Amino acid sequence: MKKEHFEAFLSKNENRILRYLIGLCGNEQDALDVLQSVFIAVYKNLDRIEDATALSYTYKIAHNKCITFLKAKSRYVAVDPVYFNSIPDSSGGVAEADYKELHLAIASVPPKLAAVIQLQYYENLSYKDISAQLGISVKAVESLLVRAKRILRKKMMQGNNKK
Amino acid sequence: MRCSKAIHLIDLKLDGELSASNSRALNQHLDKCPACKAWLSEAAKLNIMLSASPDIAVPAWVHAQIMDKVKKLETAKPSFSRRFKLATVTATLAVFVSLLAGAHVGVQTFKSETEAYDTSSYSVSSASFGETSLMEVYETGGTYDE
Ligand SMILES: [Zn+2]
Repeated sequence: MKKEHFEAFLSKNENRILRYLIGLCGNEQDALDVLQSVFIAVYKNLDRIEDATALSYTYKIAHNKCITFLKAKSRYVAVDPVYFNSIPDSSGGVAEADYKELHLAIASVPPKLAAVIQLQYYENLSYKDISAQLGISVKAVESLLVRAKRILRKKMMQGNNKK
Repeated sequence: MRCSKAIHLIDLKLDGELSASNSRALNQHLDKCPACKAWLSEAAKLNIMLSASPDIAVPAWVHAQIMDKVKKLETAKPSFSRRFKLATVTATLAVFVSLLAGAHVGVQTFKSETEAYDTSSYSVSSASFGETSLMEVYETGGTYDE
């Protein structure tokens, strides 16, 4: 990727990556800290990054940086559903609890699956647009989504059964 | 249609990716199959929950801070390509100057063989002049582009 394109790339993708990181880190403040290190790492590797797969690559970096961050803080909130369930719900609503469950489920799948889920559901992109964003084929998008949804539904059901 | 096919098509339907012909075929199956119909409303829950997630935006100051840090990286060390270009220019100049100097020394040496012996000392000094200018070019080449 060319250096001149970095800021446009940042503007286009920072919200996506932040959403992903909030799920992984468990809170927005940590996510914002990690977000900075993610995009700086992207910048340092610009000459090795292809435009077509830059977003996929950024999701991967985000995943790795967050794992490192959580290790440093020596707490694995993202992969410990008990942590979230033990937080008293401000609204007391079932919907919010379910939403947390979902957040956790997304955080626990590989970055590639999380990426397709985000682009499909939060941004309502078509399979074709997702394939262009991530530099993969439409068929690959379809099968990744099938896999991702199967995992999410399973996790959501497990979560609901625990309550 | 088999139920496994119908379940796959339900995913496509929920994602807005189902073609018109497949849509008709799926509806026909759903009319006859209560299990798949139940699955449709179950599967739709995930879509509804996911699309109901709140908006998330990176604060402008965080964006600015990233750009700021990135620019600082840039001034801290010149990029590989810039250094490479600089090195190429310097090397080309150096080769050119040493060729000139070499030719000059050659001419002087040739002259010294045909002319009086003490003029050869001139060729030595010209050779050292060549070296000095080489250093100068290297230095100015180094500072000029910075
Ligand atoms: Zn069926």
